[in-house]
Amino acid sequence: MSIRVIKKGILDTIQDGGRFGYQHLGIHPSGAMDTVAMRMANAFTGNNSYEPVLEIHFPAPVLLFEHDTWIAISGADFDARCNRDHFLPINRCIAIKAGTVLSFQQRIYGARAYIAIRGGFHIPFWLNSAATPIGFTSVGTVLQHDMILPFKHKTVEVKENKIFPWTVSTPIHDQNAVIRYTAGYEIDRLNSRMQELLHLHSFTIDKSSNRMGYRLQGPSLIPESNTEILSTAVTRGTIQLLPNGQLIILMADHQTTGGYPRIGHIIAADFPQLAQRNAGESFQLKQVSLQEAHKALQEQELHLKQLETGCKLRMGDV
Amino acid sequence: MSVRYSYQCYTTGDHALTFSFGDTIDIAVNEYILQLFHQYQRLRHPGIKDCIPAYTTITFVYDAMYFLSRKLDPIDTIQLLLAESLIPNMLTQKQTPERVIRIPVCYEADCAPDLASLAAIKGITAGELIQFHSSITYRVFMNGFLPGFAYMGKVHEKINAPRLSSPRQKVPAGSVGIAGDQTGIYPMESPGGWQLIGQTPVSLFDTNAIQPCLLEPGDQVQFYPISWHAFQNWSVQ
Repeated sequence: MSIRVIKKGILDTIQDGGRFGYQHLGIHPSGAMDTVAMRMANAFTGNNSYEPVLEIHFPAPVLLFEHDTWIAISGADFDARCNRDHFLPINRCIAIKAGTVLSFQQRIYGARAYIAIRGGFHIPFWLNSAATPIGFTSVGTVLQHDMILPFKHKTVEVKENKIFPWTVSTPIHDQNAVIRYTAGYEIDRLNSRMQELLHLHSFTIDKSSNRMGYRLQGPSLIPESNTEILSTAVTRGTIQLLPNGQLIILMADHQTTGGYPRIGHIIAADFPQLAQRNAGESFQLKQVSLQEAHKALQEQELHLKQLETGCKLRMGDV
Repeated sequence: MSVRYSYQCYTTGDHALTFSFGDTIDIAVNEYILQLFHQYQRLRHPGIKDCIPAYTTITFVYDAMYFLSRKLDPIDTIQLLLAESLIPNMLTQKQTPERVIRIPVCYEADCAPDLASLAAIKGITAGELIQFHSSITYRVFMNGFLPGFAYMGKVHEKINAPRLSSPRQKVPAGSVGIAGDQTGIYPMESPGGWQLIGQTPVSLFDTNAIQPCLLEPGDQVQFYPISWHAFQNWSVQ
């Protein structure tokens, strides 16, 4: 029971909710960049929310299903095709018969797509997680040509490829949504005029951006003093101010501590939106309070819970 | 602990809370942070995903939904945890015996791209720089940056050095560097801006080990020079 990698994509890894509990050793959490899309792909296949999934970028891999299964694709829309012909929608449960080839034609929107298979993959774990950090080779799963990705167990029999007719309401991908942040402890390194520039200008994601961090192009923000701080914790979403006045937003494979001033932190509810932006795309930043950040997260969680319940009902598991 | 330090508390985003006990490198403060961390490890909290001790700060990364779904304020709850459960119950005695770890370093040119230029700037010979670096027993203040990276200090004032103005794209695994008053070893190949004065053949981080990091906060570290030949022929012992 497995998938065979016919052709690898630009960066295809196995990800889950992240490897927590080891940041005091410098081991970063890693995990899916868009955890909402990861959970949606799992919901549509009847999996647990945090079952490891495949995270792909464009150019995407070409995958041969060697056995029957159900799959779902969420997050970015890369124009998925089965047997290079039949269009496959995102956010649906799809029955796939052994021998089917899954490929992706073009990037329609988004930066990262997530593929879940019913029952999950049989893959190595390290420190209680299957998340694959970039930069160190001995942990996780990076897809390679001809690699076999085994399934945990046989789950379903499929007579013919089929898109299940049911769906549930899903969050809308909004390419123009502002990205919200809360103020960082070192925000005062920027005077009030420089702080205004954060809101007046838009920022463009530099092409050197990756799973570790997004480097931003925008107005040069001249710090009041450019002294580094004593190394201390940073986290996913931390906005660091570099000595040259540019910003870096730390993403899933972020370092655990840093010495650059932290002027803000992207709110958790907006990580998925940010994770789906590509290099060259621009966005506006907006400062919000901690209460607003938590309220946004609660609303997102409520929506996800409804989606997960809706999928379970459709599958008759409830 | 008989001494109590005052602290400031601030949010590090919407899912982390930091307590700061100072803003300069200080062994007593760092020891206090470490004992707080050990006390947290004994206690733990289901809503907290990570506890990150640093030089003078301790940060709790929390699952915001754990608290919000229970109608709890994560900030109040964690502040209370620190003030009422962690600080009053800290042990006066160190829990872990002090470990002294000796690490071989090749300081020869092929392993030390910045050594000659740094010595020249400091007005000392390469031999004196090596002597200054290898004659001090360093304290590991914290792990961070990369898996298994240990921030050690303080280096002798004769050899402290700023970070490179432009970081290197690739620093080889085992590289020993200096940044400010700190010294450290890159556990794996990565980009990096520390001035490189040597390289160790020993492995700092092993994903197959039960304790993946060779160095942990509170450890004492001594460096000793080895030849290029010894570096090349070092085998796993």
